Amino acid sequence: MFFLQTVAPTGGVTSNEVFDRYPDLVSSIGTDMGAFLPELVLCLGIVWVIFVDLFSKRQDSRRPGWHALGVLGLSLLTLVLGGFPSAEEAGSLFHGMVVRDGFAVFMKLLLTIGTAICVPMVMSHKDLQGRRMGEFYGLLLGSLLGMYMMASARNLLMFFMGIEFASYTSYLLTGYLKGDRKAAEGGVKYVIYGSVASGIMVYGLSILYGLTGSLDVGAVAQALIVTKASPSLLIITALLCFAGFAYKISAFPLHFWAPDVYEGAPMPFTAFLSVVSKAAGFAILIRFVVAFGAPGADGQALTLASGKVLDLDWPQILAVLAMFTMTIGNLAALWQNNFKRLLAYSSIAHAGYLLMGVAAVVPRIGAEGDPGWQPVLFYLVVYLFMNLGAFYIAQIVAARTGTEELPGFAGLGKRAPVLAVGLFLFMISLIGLPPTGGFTGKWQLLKAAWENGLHTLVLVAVTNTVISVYYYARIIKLMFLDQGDGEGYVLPVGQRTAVVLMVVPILWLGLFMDSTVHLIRSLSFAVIG
Amino acid sequence: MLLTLVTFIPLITAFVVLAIPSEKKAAIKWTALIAAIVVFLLATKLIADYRGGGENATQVFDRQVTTLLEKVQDPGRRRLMEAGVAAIKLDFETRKASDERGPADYAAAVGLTLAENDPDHGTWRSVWELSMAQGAAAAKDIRFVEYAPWIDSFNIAYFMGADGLSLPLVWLTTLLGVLCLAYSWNIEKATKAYFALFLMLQTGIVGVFLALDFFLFYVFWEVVLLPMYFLIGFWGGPRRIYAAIKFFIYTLAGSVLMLVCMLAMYFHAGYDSFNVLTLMEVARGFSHDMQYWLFLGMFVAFAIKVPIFPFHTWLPDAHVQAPTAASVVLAGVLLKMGGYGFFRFSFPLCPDAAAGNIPLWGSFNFVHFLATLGVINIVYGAFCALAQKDFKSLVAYSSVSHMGFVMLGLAALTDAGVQGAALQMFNHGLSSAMMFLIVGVIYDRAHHRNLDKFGGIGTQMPYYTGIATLGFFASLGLPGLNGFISEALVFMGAWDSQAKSAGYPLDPKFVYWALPGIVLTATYILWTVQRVFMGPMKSETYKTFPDVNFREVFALAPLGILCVVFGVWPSLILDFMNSSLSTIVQVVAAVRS
Repeated sequence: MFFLQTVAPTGGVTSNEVFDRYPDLVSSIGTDMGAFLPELVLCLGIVWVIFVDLFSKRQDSRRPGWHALGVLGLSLLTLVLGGFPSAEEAGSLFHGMVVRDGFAVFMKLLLTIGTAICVPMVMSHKDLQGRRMGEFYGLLLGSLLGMYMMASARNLLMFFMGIEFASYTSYLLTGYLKGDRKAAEGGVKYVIYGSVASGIMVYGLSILYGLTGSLDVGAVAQALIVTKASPSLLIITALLCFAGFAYKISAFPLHFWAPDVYEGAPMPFTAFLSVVSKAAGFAILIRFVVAFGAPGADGQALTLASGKVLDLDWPQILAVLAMFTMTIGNLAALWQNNFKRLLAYSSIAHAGYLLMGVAAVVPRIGAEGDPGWQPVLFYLVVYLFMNLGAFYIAQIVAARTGTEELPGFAGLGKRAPVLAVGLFLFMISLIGLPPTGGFTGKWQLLKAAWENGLHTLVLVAVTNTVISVYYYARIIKLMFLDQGDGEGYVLPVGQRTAVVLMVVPILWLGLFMDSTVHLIRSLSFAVIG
Repeated sequence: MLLTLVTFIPLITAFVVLAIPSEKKAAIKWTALIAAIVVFLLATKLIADYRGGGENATQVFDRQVTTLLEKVQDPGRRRLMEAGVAAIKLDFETRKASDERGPADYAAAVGLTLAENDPDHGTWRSVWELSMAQGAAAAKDIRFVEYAPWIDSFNIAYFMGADGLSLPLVWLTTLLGVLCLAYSWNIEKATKAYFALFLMLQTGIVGVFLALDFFLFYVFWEVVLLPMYFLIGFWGGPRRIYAAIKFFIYTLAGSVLMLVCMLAMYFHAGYDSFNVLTLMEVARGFSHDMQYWLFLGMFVAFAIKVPIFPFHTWLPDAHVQAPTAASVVLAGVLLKMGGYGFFRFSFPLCPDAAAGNIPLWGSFNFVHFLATLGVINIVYGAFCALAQKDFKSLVAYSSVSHMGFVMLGLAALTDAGVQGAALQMFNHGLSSAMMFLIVGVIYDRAHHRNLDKFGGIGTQMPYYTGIATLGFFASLGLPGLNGFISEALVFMGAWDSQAKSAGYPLDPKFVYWALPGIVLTATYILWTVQRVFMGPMKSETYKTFPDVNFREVFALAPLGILCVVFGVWPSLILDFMNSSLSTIVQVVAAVRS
């Protein structure tokens, strides 16, 4: 066997031994709980929302939604009050199960805001009226809790738990509209693809455990350097692990589930999947890549993430995956006629753009510049607003026209100018044109990739941008240049405000990105190992 | 402040226009027109003030470097930085082309040690950047400088400035802005959106000509895209949607390549600068290999805009489908963005490539490359124009032909050639704008543009015929009108290239090959005049056509007058551009090996 040089895992451990090893086990849990407040709020919130639902009438399906919003607000508040831990404060909680650093807090903020935008969409979705919605919000909050774990996990077991927790709740939510054929199809496909991907990932994680006898990411990375594990084994292991992440971010080659699931799921949950779930996937992927790219104790840098393995360096492999992901996403999107499917492929393409930043996460030897995760975070912020905004407007339009197909958008510029201009701005931001955040965000990703010497990747990415114009511009064309039928309508103030609230960050980030970039640069990242 | 006003008044007015209720069409039109006139007057003031002096970029940056140095707390460090600035300035006199020195190199040379997180580190970087910028040859002609930090985290500045190259184009843009808005008085379909988009378009174009920070330039460059897309796509002809998306995708394909070039320069050797003047200085040290790719990348971006064969296919579609005023802006100034790119970016940033020091393929270098494509444009464009049945696409192809002269003049790299090229851009802006307006006038009456179906318009519309003939002859290059001067200068420059070129001497054969273009131009223009204005009237309806009205004369007359003025008194504009243009020639001459 080619991985004989493994460290034998320690045998069974009795509970006494555990206490011997961690004398402060109980007391530290108490102190760590303070930093765990946002998660605790969510845990209680899940119960609370279901509880509220039990005591409300069936037709009163919005009520648990308001409570869910309250829970999210409370969680957001605890996150903000906790602040961003500085580099000195950054560390791990619960004996190395989760990390607490600026990166994790920022990601959690992002995930919470994204979920909070989805909740009103759920509340106003016409197919989700007059049902018992307590479980829906409970599952949604549960999914968010799983994603909190994904953003801060540092133990391989936590990696797996976080992903699975977020996934199982997502399977249920996808198929929430039980009678709907497409929803059922989407739900089943999601479960099958998800289970396969998780299975593959768990196999990869188990090899890591087998090689090193540890589940702590830092210890694993250290042990891999010390034991000088076989490069071919490492590359196979990493690819196996990557399966799990790729499925979460819908990257090539595990992107097949996305279009069907996106089409089948209720629109607000599609929005949630395409933005929040993807952001969490990127958080955990970055955590993984950085952990294994951290300099080792003996100064020998880089094992998995950027070492030259089999004459292939890791950033190059990620770059190739990024190229395939964005190209496949964009080419497939050209042929779509359903808005949700189109945005599904567009979100695959965007996973490719974001992977470009991940490929640059660990500066290659000799390269300097900002770590690639910073542009990824910036782009995720932009992506959150532009993609959720697009879905939000699509939901309003779909409710009016009764169809989620593209022709429903025809003549929107005349019928509802505010919606049309809003969607237009989100589209040009998705293309990546100034003066929107999509441009500055993509520019930063390109910059990071170029800085790391991934020149081919940059060329492929800009070519993809040109390809993507065709299908985004189709929507612009439908809205403004084509004649549509249907009455014009005046938007309620609430919807109008919501559109403006999502457009403003897009323009702000496009014109004045300085403060956000500074904030992201100041975030601490707990380097494990 | 003046440049900001000229750039952003149209944009602000666009939002004002959007706020006016759409029924109040008169208010919308007048608001837009008055804003355009104000901007035009401001631009004229810029022209008038330019000669009067005022601080140029060299002086501005000198002052800013002094201010920056005063803020340095540590006196020892300040002395070192001053020594560093002195070293940079000394280097401007003695520096060999192949040297390449960044902030770290100069710091090392004077013994300045700065940690990455030291607050003075940023200061030194800025000091270096501005010292380099003030030393650039082009800096001495750049006036009305506005320089403020914009996106500090990436060292992107709001840097605007104007020189003899950009100001005439800015003036032309604002002039065409006034004329086009006046000409568009009869637009009834979605008037508000039309005028707002037109004003936004103007902001984009003026911004492109004035921005001297590469990032800012790119933003303006892209801003031009969407208003034009809508103008073609919404108010255009039958195939407008196809033409609009083609325009969009073509231009974007070019500009993303420019984005890549921009990144490559930004990162080269860790300079992290988008200041075009700084880049011009460091560019002298770019390796041949790098310049090769940079030049090709930027070439595609600008060539699509110019447009140069074989990237020209979007142009006939866009021009033919666009509404008249949009065609005028397209031909008049949008194409010049490409030409301007060659003058401002391609040549100074890749001097070795421009000088012909770098072989493109075998012994075929970039000078050959540009000259060949220029000749193809001239001749091929003229042949295509000859074959057109559609009046508007004939004018469109004549643009392709005329823009070829810009390339040929640039490739010649003599003073006369480069002046001719720049003047040709300006003149073509006048004459092609006029020709598109002329087509628009007849199309509004006849509702078709088929050249074979016209005839005898001359007797029915004598004033129109007079103005139109003037415009056509200006385009043809008749002596006494503006087109003649620039085309003659280009030919003189190309002919002289063997003896006087600053770069690789161009074979006079290129002139022979381009000459048929002149004959062909005369042919298609005279034949068009004959088919439209002379002969028997082919349709009875033509008898009902009124002659040009006030709106049309208002748009056409200024252009006609200017064609004559610059035809008999070209030095009016040549003297204005001279210094900036000879700088470009000198920069290239300095690296010629």
